[in-house]
Amino acid sequence: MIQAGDLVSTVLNSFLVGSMYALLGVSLTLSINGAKMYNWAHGELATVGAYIAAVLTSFEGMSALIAIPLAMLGAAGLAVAVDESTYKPLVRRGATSIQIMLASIAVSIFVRYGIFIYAAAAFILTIKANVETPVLTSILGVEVTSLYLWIIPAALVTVFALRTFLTKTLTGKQIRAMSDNAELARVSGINVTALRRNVWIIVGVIAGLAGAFWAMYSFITPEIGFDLLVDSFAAAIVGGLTYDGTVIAGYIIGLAENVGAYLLNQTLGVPTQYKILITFSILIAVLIAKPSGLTTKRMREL
Amino acid sequence: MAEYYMAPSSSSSKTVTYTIGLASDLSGGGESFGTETVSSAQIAVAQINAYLTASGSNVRFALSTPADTLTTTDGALKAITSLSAAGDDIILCHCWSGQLQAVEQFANTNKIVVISPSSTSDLLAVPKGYLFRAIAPDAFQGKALTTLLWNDGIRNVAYIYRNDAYGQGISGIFNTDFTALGGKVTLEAYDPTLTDFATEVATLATNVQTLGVGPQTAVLFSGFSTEAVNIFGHAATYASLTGVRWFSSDGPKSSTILPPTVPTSIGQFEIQTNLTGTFPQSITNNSIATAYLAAFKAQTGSYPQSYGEQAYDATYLLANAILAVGSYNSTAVKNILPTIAAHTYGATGALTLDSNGDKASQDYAIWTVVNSAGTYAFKNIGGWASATGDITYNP
Repeated sequence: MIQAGDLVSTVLNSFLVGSMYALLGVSLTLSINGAKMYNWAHGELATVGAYIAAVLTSFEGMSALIAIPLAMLGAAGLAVAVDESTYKPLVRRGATSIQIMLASIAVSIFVRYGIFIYAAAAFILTIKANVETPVLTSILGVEVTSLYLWIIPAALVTVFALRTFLTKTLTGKQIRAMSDNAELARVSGINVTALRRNVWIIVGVIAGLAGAFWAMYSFITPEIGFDLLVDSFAAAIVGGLTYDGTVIAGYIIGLAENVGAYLLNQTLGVPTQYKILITFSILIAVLIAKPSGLTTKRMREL
Repeated sequence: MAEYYMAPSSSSSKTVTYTIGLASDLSGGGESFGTETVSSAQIAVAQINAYLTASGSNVRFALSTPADTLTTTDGALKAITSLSAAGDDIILCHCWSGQLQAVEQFANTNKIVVISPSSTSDLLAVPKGYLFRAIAPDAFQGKALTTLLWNDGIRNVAYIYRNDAYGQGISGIFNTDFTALGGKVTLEAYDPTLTDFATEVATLATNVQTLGVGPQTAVLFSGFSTEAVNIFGHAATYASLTGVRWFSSDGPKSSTILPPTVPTSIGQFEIQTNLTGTFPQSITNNSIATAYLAAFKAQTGSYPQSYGEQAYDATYLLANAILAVGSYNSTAVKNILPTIAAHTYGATGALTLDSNGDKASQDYAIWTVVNSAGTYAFKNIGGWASATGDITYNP
């Protein structure tokens, strides 16, 4: 039997989770559009951000307001380092997109196990950021914590800032030009190499933010980023690899796999453990019905 | 030191070293348990070698470099495979039930003795060939939990458990036993590979409200610490879930569910709901257990929290079986192990195995979480004796 309070809680939580899917999805979309590659190591950027935030708040007593920017910087540093050390040399040698994607899988495993080794030695294979989130109010017996004030507005502001950056600044416009045709952008005098580095910095910053938020929200392990990658890819694909579309898709997936799973359980008795099937059902349905994703012409122009 | 079945041989002056393979969760959610297994096996081997040296024997034991089972089924299989490739066919494996299932076929096909100190699923309470368990199946823990909850006046239980051999096994036993007494149980399985359990907790809250929030209703949790942190965190925001008592099986009893590893709000939830659980442990004063605990504290700086006693006993069983056989013959060890176990008393009491190769009886400690001046810790408050089926509380 559906309980109003439990349903409200599930809806609210969906927006929380959806915000993090949106952040990861948008940064993934930027790497696909800007760097022209499907980066399977994207999740590890979030993992690094998550661990930096968790370690700094739990063991260094650092405020989340300081730990989160450091997490974003750490993830950005990793993104640039991986590009400079692996992806860029492969591009220079004329590697195909498949070869670069395979290299990103190797990078993903390499970074993940590096985190494993560190976390095992530090006895933090499972950890949660030690950020107290006081109760703000109670709705139908369900407490709403300050986490909602952290994550949802921050996600929306970040995406709005990215959108403004891409449409209103010269560098942003150059990134969009590079996304459309990198060779044409290069012969037009745009420093594609420097621009690519900027793309990876932004990708890392946003993915690191998503990871830091996840560490505040729940426990993390060295596999957390890889686990979240499935939902992030789903958001990006359902959103048609557009920024606005990915945000909307992130919230749709968050709502569908939480509210949908709750309602299916309470009305039809479907076990909640199958909720991942809802995400992929949406993905397949969208790809069949509208391969360009849930986007409008205006969204695709951004 | 565990009692020996027979004296070691010393027929030759040349030292003979037998290596016991060691596989354990050194990463992943089971890491804190796995490292205790390694330390416990090292303590046992050191004691055995000291005894052998003192008695003039030329036999010594060594442990292989621990193979990481990664807290996954694939990881367990790879670990056993790599140990076997290195010639280690007699293995102590900190395998959970799902992991033990994963290695069963390979172990039996290749005649590799594997003994687990941590697999408890009742679904594996069947003859397993070369596989043994130095811990009793969850039929005992199911009865201990049933007695614990029923004695505390609980009549309605919302059970949430991980959907694997461990969760399915113990929830099935509890459901059967508790409903037979006249209690009511709702069952909710969750996928342990998920990253978030918000929906599962919302469903749990609805189940609790359907059963009726009050002193006769409780939540029972059977999962691991990683999932517990997420589930407790979500549950703390529901008035319905903080308004009932919470109970747990042994799975989450790890320091990773206590502050400062987790925010104090989760520790407060554990105190508020009077989180109480069971854990396989000898509840009678036992000089072997006392000596083991002292050795563990000396080696690691703290007392074991998990399956250390079982790992210690399992190491002794393997060593005693090899000594009895007089060679590194896995089939002979497999055949004699039940006889050795029937005549060995260890840190967890009598180590007799049943016809399935599982420890034939098991007592359970009753634990809860306490907050002493801001420091959160587990505290044993009593125990359930398998011989009587009764719970006694510490004074």
